[in-house]
Amino acid sequence: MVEKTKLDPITFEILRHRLEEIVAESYYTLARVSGNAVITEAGDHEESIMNAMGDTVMVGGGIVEWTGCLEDAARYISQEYEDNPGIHEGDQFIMNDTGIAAVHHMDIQVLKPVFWEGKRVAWLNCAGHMMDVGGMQESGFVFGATERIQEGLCMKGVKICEKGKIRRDIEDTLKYMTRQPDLFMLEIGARIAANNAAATRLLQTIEEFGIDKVLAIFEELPEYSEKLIRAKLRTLPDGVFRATHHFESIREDEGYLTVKCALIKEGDSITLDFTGSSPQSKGSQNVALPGARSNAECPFLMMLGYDIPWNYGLWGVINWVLPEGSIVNPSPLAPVSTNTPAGAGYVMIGTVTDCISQMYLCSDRTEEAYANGGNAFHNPNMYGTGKRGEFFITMMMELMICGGGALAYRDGDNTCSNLWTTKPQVTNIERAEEHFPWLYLWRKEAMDTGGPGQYRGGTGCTNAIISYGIGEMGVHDMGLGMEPRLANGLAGGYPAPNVKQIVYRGANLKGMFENGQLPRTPDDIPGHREVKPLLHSFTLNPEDAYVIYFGGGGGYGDPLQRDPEAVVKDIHQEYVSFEEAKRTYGVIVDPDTQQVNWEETRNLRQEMIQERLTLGKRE
Amino acid sequence: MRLRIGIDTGGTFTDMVVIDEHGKVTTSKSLCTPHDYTICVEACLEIAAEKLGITVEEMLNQTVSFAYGTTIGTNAIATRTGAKTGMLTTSGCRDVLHIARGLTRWSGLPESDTKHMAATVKPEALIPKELTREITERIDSTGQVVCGLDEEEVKQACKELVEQGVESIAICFLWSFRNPEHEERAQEILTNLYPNIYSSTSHQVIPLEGEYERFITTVLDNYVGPKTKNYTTLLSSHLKRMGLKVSLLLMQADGGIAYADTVQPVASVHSGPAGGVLGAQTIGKLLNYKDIISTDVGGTTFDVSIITNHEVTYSREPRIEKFNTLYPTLDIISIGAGGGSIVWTNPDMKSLHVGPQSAGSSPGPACYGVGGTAPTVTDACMVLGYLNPHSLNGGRMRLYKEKAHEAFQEVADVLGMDVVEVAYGAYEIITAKMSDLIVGMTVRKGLNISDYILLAFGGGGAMHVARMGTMLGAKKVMVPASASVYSAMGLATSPIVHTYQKYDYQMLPITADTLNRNLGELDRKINADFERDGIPEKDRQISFYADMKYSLQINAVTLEIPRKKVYTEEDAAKLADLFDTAYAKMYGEGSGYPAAGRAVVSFMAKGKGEIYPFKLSASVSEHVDASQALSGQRQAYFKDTGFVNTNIYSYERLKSGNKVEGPAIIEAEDTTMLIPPKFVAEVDAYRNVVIEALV
Amino acid sequence: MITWGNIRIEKAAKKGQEEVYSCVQCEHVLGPTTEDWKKYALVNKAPLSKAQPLHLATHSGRFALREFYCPNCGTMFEVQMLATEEPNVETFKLL
Ligand SMILES: [Zn+2]
Repeated sequence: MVEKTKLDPITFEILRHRLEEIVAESYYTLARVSGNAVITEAGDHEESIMNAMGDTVMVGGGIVEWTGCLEDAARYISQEYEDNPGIHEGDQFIMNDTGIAAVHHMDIQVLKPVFWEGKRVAWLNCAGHMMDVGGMQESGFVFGATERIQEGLCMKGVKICEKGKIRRDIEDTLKYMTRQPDLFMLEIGARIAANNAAATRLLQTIEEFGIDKVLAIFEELPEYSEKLIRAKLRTLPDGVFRATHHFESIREDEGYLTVKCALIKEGDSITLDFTGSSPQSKGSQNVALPGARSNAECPFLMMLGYDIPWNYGLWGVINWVLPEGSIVNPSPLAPVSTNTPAGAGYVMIGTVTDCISQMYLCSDRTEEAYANGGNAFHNPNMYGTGKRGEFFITMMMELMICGGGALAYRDGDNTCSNLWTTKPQVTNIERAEEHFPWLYLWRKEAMDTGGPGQYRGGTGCTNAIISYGIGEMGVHDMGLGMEPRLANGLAGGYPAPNVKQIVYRGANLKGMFENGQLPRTPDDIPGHREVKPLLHSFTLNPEDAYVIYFGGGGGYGDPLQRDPEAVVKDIHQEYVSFEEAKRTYGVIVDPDTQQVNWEETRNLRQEMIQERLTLGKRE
Repeated sequence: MRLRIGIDTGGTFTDMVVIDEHGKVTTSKSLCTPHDYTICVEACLEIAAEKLGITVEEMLNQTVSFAYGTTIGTNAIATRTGAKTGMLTTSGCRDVLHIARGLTRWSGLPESDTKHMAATVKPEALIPKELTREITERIDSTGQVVCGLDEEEVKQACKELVEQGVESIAICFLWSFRNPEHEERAQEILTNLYPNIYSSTSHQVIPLEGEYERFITTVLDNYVGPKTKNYTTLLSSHLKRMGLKVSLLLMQADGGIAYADTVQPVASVHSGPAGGVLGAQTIGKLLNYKDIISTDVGGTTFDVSIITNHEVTYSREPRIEKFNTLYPTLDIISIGAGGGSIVWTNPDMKSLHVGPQSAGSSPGPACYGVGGTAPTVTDACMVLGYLNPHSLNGGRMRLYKEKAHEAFQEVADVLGMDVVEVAYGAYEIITAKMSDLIVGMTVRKGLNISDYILLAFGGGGAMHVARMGTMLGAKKVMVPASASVYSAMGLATSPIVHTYQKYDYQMLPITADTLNRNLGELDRKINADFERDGIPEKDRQISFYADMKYSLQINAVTLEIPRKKVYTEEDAAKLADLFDTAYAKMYGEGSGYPAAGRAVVSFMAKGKGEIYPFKLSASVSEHVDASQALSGQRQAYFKDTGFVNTNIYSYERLKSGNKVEGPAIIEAEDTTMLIPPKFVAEVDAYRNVVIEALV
Repeated sequence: MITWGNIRIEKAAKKGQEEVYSCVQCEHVLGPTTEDWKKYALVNKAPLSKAQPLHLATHSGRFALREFYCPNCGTMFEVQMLATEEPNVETFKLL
């Protein structure tokens, strides 16, 4: 038997850093080559290196919610396609099957096997969101789907590159099956280029250090991550931590759906148990098994694994209970396209975030806990005739600037989501107006949208646009939290308020503009007001206006314990209104001096406590 | 005798360089006096004049260019002590700075820090909402007025802001770079009412797309404007009184200097590091190295910038702190790796790590003996025998070798290795991290490292640069003479630079008229500037560029367009090919998508004006033998040899033409150069030390 | 001593004593940790229109804000949005 190479700590550290750089290389290449604003401006992509069998060795930061999926694809291809069609040097494979390896099928992955002296030694994966994947509905989010097959393109690891060249037959097929064939192929090309860039550096590394050492780091790094996470888990209290989140079903006949999570932590083991979650939905908000795990792993990585290399050694410690036939593990035929962001997948992130925060709150590291933020949002997918006459489809990325959840010692960040990506960012108004046929009336921080608490949840945003092109524009709105309040508070903090979207029919603002007037609030907008339900499709005509309120973050602690001076500061910055300062925080602010009226505040807060004691019942 | 003076204010010291017309260089140095920087400037002048044997007045009388690098703006931002600034903005845009595209929580942080969500915080906006006023006005993406400017509202807003005590007002409207009418008019109203309030408009500061970046750049300009202007006015009149006959030149972050009264204040922010890059560029021109990787190892960071074909590289994502800006800024990438980087271990894992935490200068490396107990990279260099075991900075600072040993002992015990093994491991790890950064920077630009010479600035760089060169496959590395004053040298030798940009998004093919109109406009602006500067036409060198992209793709390539008086349709038609070639070179074959069409985003013109040609005096090359500089021997540790007897040379006593074979160490006043075995160092005509591998 | 927000878990000082939950603000002893602390708290089911309801457009009555607070001093321990009639969720239980 050949003895395994054991790396000395110096080579280990140098190679670990090198692998990080290789993944980063891939990340930057995709961002540079891509033509999709969701990738270049919102960072909706992720890259990884896997061993020859497809187990992840290193993942970069990006959209964390897909991290767990990246290896499922390489494992599947390694297991299924070794003989037919075969896995050879110069091949690349395309995968977006939600039953195997994707959160939703818009997340298109391209995988490249890396060979050294004729032998496969690694896989590289580059994955990113695609704006359209054919199927029944522009954007890939298929509201009316009752079966997965209606949701569009599904590639199960098809060999798209052979001997370094894109296969024409596959290219033509893909182009035929999608609505933006040019952009689609550009995006595939970007992923291929990213994999090639990473492969070049990986091969240079093998040349420099020798294959034995590189294979050794592939094996030792996951072991290292596992040891670190187990050591960290041992320092946290043993217990059962639970969260229940409800959200609206796309199917009116279902009312609402539920994700229930229990985190059981004992010693260095951790179990995520979703027993009690809703049975499989008839609509598209189910999340298939790979996506369910991957979503639930997202807060695990960001809250427990932030200082540990991301690979299967890290998330491999999780034991799973995902009941079959439930919304988090439906039948292979169930539709799943809207599970993220407006369905069970995304909601799982919120429940696990809550559970991990509860665990931290019971420990001596309360600074690691945070309330949920941005769980309630709108994510309008806009499509129609573009400014230059072409078909366009894009996402309004303001969901990236929902509010962040409060922490146990400070307010949540305003207009800066903290739920599912490490690097949120929204497109500039000017960039959007340059490329798409609408005109912004405003994009602002929205008053009274942060969850009340001793520490306030971050404020969400509001925006308003009018159609400013040559025809009508279609909207498929993804969204959650119009009635249920999804961004939970922590330890006495209130959940963040609801989201809302309103269309003003026939507002005909161009006339107003000519008179030298610009609306600054919804009250300034004339026209017939229609509050639009979420997960809904509608059109915007050139004379309509469209106003949206995005969600905030949950609060932390009792709002009656919030420092009245902080409430005053919030009033000055228009984060909180006078009315809510009084009603929710029990703080009276003198409208003339704009300062706290301490005596009245003390009295009011006492009254509010009295009211609690009067109203409250024992169960 | 005509003199050129460069003075650079750093964090601790103010450095000065005087170059006479024969190329003789005189340097001086004094401690910074942050309460009043004119004091340290004066101190430097006095020392230099004394060295030259003349009075300050005589020296300033003969000065033909006086360039100054200031940290006033940088400090005002770092300490949040800039002007109380107000802002007028388009209706609906009050919160642009507060939202900050959602990215200020993580922008500029190392990858590893961005993953730790709970520990990242979004910084407060520079201007509170109370000091931001929305104005009724709107222009669309084509420059058409959608809604006219409400002048009464502007007047009222200005009045309120001034009553609230603002010292400056930033005027930031959407699409102003397409149509500046409203910004210009608003500024006119403001200036008529309140002539003493500082104000700049967003189209004037930087006429490019992207309201967050353009607005924050403009706000920063207004934030540092009053202070910067006041200070440079003060310094100018001071210098004039002392005998300076020419106008004061200021260093800018784009790597050029310009007359102080013409500099946009925000341009002086972060100009400090640019000075060092200019220094590298100067060396490159002097010695005809056209491709340079300039590195700087300081106490806490490792900074890299790249010069290709004598041209500095601009950052695609310039940033001041966590604020992404748009002002042309040199591309200097920085990671947390320096002499103070802490070496640590995870006892459970028996792993070894270096940085990114740093002991900084306080408590500092253990061997400094000022309280630090954690082992650092500097301590590793001490254990390995690279650093002088007794003193640093020409004897001004005592060192304690035994403390470095002690600091490493604990880590060594945990790992079950000996102290030297661990110290060498730490040295290798940090050098590998530095190399990885350089590989990333070059690969991403499609550059070939073996074409480049590696320059090591900063106190620590010379101990890593030879090893880095080996890791990178660079053929040549160099430690420049008196590296610490290179910023000042860059200032003293830099031409005047004017840069103008114009946004004009157009799909290809464009007409000759588009080229002529845009480039003509920029050309006229630059020539007007040079007219005012008094630079004759023959000393102006103007280059044209276009930022181009494939319409679906976001990333642009800056393409140089050969300068012409009048462009023909044929010239315009050639752009597509030029762009395709440049794009493929930068991002790889097939990474572009021409089928979707190509677009010009913006045009840029950059003008360089020579104030007075300079040269440096070269020494005559003497004998190869360096034995006159040999100051002793000590044991130093190298990868393949272990500890070996190593010759120590004194840089002060080395002469041009001397060769030193490794293993050897050259000790200079502000740096220590490591020549590993199988390397040879040669002192060139300008006293730079060039290190090459023996073949 | 472990605290979770405004709730403290007091270990048994002597043998035979129970481990109990108490209020951090007023030190009121809530009850033994063998049960969910929510059993000892006061609970109020408030409509979703409480606390910043500005954008609430639908009132189906399906959900309520369930507020749990100290029966002695009224300090808010936890607020959860749950379906009006579903059982309490035991947020944490240490093993
Ligand atoms: Zn109490």
